[in-house]
Amino acid sequence: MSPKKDAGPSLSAAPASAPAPAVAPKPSAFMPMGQMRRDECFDLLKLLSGVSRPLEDVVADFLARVPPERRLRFGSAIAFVLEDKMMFQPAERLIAFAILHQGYSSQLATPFASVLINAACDETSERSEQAFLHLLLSSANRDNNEILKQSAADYLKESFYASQVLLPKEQLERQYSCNAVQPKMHTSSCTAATVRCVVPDPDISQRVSPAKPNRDNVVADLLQETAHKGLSPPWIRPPPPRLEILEGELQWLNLDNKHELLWDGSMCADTSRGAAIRDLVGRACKGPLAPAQQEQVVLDLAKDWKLVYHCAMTPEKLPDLVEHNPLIAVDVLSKLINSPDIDSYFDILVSMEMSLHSMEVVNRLTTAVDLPPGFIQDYISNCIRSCQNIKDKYMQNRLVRLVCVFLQSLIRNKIINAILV
Amino acid sequence: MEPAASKEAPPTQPQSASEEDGMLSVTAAMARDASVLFQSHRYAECAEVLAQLLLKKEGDPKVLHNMAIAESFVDGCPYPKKLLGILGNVKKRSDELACASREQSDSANGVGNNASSGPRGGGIVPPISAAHNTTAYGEEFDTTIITFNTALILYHLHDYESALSVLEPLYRNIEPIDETTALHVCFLLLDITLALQDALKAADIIQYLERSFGVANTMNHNENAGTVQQQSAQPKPHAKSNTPPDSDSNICPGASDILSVGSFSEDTLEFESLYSTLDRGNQLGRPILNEFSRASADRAATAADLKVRLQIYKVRLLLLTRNLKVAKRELKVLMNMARGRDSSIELLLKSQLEYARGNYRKAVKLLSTPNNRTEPVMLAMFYNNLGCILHQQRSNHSSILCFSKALKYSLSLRSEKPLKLSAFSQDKSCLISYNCGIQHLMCGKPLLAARCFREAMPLLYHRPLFWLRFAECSLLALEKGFLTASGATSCNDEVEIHVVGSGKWRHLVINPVKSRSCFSDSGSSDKHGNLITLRFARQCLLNAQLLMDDFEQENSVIASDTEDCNQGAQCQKSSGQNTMSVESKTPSGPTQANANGEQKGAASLNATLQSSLGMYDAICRKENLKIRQAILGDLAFIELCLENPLKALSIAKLLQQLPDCSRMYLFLSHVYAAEALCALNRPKEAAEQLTVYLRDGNDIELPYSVENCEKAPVEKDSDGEDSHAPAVTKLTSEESQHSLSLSPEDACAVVYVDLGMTAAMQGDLEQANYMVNRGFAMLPNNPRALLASVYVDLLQGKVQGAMGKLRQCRNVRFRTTGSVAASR
Repeated sequence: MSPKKDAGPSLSAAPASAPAPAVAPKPSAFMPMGQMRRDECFDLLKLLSGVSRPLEDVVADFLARVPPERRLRFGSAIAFVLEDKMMFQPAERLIAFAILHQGYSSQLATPFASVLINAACDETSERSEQAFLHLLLSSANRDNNEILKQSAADYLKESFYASQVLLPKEQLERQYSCNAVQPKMHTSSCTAATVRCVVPDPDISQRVSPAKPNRDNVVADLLQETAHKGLSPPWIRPPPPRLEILEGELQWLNLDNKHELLWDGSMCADTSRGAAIRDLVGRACKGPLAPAQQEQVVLDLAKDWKLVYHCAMTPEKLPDLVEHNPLIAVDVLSKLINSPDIDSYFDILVSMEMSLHSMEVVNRLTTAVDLPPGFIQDYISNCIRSCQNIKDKYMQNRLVRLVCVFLQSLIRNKIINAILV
Repeated sequence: MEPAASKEAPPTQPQSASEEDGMLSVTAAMARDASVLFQSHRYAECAEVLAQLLLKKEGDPKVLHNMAIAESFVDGCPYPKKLLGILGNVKKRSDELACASREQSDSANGVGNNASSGPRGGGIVPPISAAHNTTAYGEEFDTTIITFNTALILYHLHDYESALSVLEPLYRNIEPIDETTALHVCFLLLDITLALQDALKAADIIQYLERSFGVANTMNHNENAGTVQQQSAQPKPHAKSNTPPDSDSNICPGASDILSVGSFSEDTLEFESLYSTLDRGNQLGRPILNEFSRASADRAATAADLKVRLQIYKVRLLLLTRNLKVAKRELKVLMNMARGRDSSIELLLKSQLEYARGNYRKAVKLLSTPNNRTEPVMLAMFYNNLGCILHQQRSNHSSILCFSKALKYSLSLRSEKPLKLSAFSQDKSCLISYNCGIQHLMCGKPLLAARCFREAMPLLYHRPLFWLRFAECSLLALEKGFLTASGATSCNDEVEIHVVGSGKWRHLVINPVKSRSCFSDSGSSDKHGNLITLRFARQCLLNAQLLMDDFEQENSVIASDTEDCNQGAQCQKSSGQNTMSVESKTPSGPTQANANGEQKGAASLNATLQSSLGMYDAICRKENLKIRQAILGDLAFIELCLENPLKALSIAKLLQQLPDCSRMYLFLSHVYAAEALCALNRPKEAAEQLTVYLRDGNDIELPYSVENCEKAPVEKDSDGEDSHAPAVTKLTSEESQHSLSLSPEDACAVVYVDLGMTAAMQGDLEQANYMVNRGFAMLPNNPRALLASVYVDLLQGKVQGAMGKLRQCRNVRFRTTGSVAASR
């Protein structure tokens, strides 16, 4: 009944730093929560500025310093900053790309494949950078990559990248997805439709070439930003209104009625209750009772009408009772009127063979109780049908006259409407 | 022979006492002693006698039962569940014995179909009707009282559903049960059905009582008084001819009549004699008794008492069905009846009536008329009801105060010694907690409200509305910024812009809209006990939905039943088969009599009851629609917040398919569906959801009008007494501030902005720009609209314009990273 416990938006807290206030749980399964610390940012910057070290070494350093569970965080921060081409120097960018490419589990393709491919095909980028990315992406065997043995600065100096053929994007993607286990990452249009949320302050008109201390601070700040995503289309989601308090919703209290536990008075009681009448009714179904016996039944029932439920009467026995003792039948039926079985009693009565006694019973019932609607009509049609079917002319004649008398009585008692019949 | 009536009363049957006494066995004598002791409240002695009796009749279910009952009176009933267990065992044992004895008699009797000569002592052959099972084995294995007591305990434990399921079979086959017990069954069932707000069943029981106990006519004096008098005899001719001693003269002529006629045999019959027989049959009128009691000098409930009690139930039912006009009239009848008695119940009802009619001052006056205001039960009731009235008068804080007081008194009942069974049912703290929770919810205090609702859960968990309210706590928390979810609007939303770098390197990071949280979110789950989370709210709403589905299924069955029946009655089809469906609910009555077209006796009351039921049904339908809408709307919203666009979409579609869905919820469903579709990368379909509101090119019509969103004024049958002093006097700004319901114009702006976003996603920047800016113009202070506009500007590379908008808006906060760092 009670709904399950809920984990709540618990934040996997970043080491040594309290989680940011009200960080909404973001959807992407890859994104481990927690921000980068300031010192982490500067560490990373230092790594990136090692332009003269072989790329291999830088990547190894990265893997050594950053625990696996933090790497994704670092990667997305790097990718975020890479979007702005002015932030890193060309050589630094190469290192950053190398980390994005190499810095993840060797079994799986890098989660930043789409970032790399997009950058590789970005016409506005430096040719050297595009070529570098092509080389990275097309290297089938990543461990044996010549290019990583160089330092970023050397790579730029040698400028053999000029000869590198640049493939169109589709081909790169295809190629890459053959190489990699992981197919192209799905991006929903919401994320595809993001716009870069970092803008240079428009009030500062002119930008100068990267100069160290200032730039480092910006990059560190950017790395620290909580959501390394662009600005997705803001959507207005109006909250549903609260249902107004319905009339009678507030619980008004009333005084309780006193209900107490009941004593069972039938404990050890004489269980012969109704035995006599049961016996008599049983006999009444087999043949006419003597007047004294009839009187006994009527009186007993009059004294305690609920006895009628204890005299073993059933609808099946009704025709016999009607034939042998119509008056007892009337008495029993009128007391059973509230019984749940009364309908089956009436059904049997209406369909039993027509006779003087059944007519008598029905006639008495019409004045004694409320019969179900349609009962009289059904009974009369039954009578008429019986009259039609009789072969013996004399008997038929007799029966027809009986029915007429019966009808007359009904009409006179306003049980049926003469016009209606 | 012992009539059933002695079940409760000591067996003081007059009939040939000496002879009877001689036949009484030792055990029967002891049983009688015990019974007498019980009736005279000497429970301890009674238990002793029973203990001795048990030695003689080891394992006898009835002795065990009575013993448990007597003991529960000796020193209170602190563990009703234990008693429930005992009764369960006793019943099982009794059923086993009955079964065994039936098998025995079956084998003894061969086929066992001749009932006439069944052996005594339980060897009575069961009649074919299964419905008779409980009573048919004879008294020895009759479990009526055990069943009743079981239901009674469940009732006291507030477990009305179980109590109903236990007691209903008894009611369905109530005719064979002796009258005293039957009355107890009916009254208990009435209290249960009223607690469950099951007006249909309650009305049925009331009608049954009126029919069977002949108390119908009193109330017809008001209306068509002329005709009623002669009609009153008509409706219950079948009523038991249980004659009081003096009416023997009445029945005896009838009997001798019958006898004289009964001796006719077909052979000797002449038509004339048949004629006369038939004729005379007409005069065989049954004596009608307006007293239900028979030989009942010592019976507590006299006929007058019965009438009063029934009338009280009738008024309560009418109040439940909100038929206030008739309730007022019937209450007047009740007041007249109850003259000279302790009238606290009546006054309370009258106060409730005035409360329902909106005459709050009168209601308070009636509530405060000095009645026994020292008992905690009365005090709890007084404060609770006062709280309800104050709520209506919008004095929220005093209302909460009252509810808290009521709660205190109600809870104090639990510590009473000795703890009586009735103390359990008198403790209404669950209901009071619910009231309190509602009040907190209205005051914008989701945490307190949720805590109250948790207390109310044991009693109200079967109501969809309850779960909806529980979920609303979390939504309110979201609205107030205690909870956060991506994309959800709260009252303190803002756009935060981080200024990073300095000098020439200064950059601005524009963050998505988020709530300026009032306090740290960390550890919220333990603090609120998980009652205030979106996931919990979703669970609540799913519960509510399930309950609604059940409820509606049940309802549709009933509705089709009644329709069938009505048609059946009109067609005058044969033999009452059509009425069976109704009869199953109105198990024992010749209601079909009314179908004959003639207005008979009690029909006028039945008609009012029927019409109030119809009205109530319509009210319930309307309310259920509101609840259903709210559930679906909330659920779609929460699924979006929990980033389940697929679920959100399907729920929003459900909402759209809801017949008679209000235009406001229709609007919400379109917006939610559109957002879900966007998240699912289907911006085109999303746009289609919203373009339904597009008129004449690029204009958007108002999605709904003010009437659709504001709550319709409640129609009240007011005297106008309070109407000149409208209740709005204390409409605090605080409250209005919390009903964060969207105006139609705002809704229109929302459509503009969201439509703009779908255009942006489809790459139509021009259209996006146009739409978003129109929306933004209408919602200049909405941070999301602002951000949408900024977003479109950025898409178009208009950084300068975007910044200009951001600088102008008051819901934007610029923070340097320094301060960000400092805040961490």
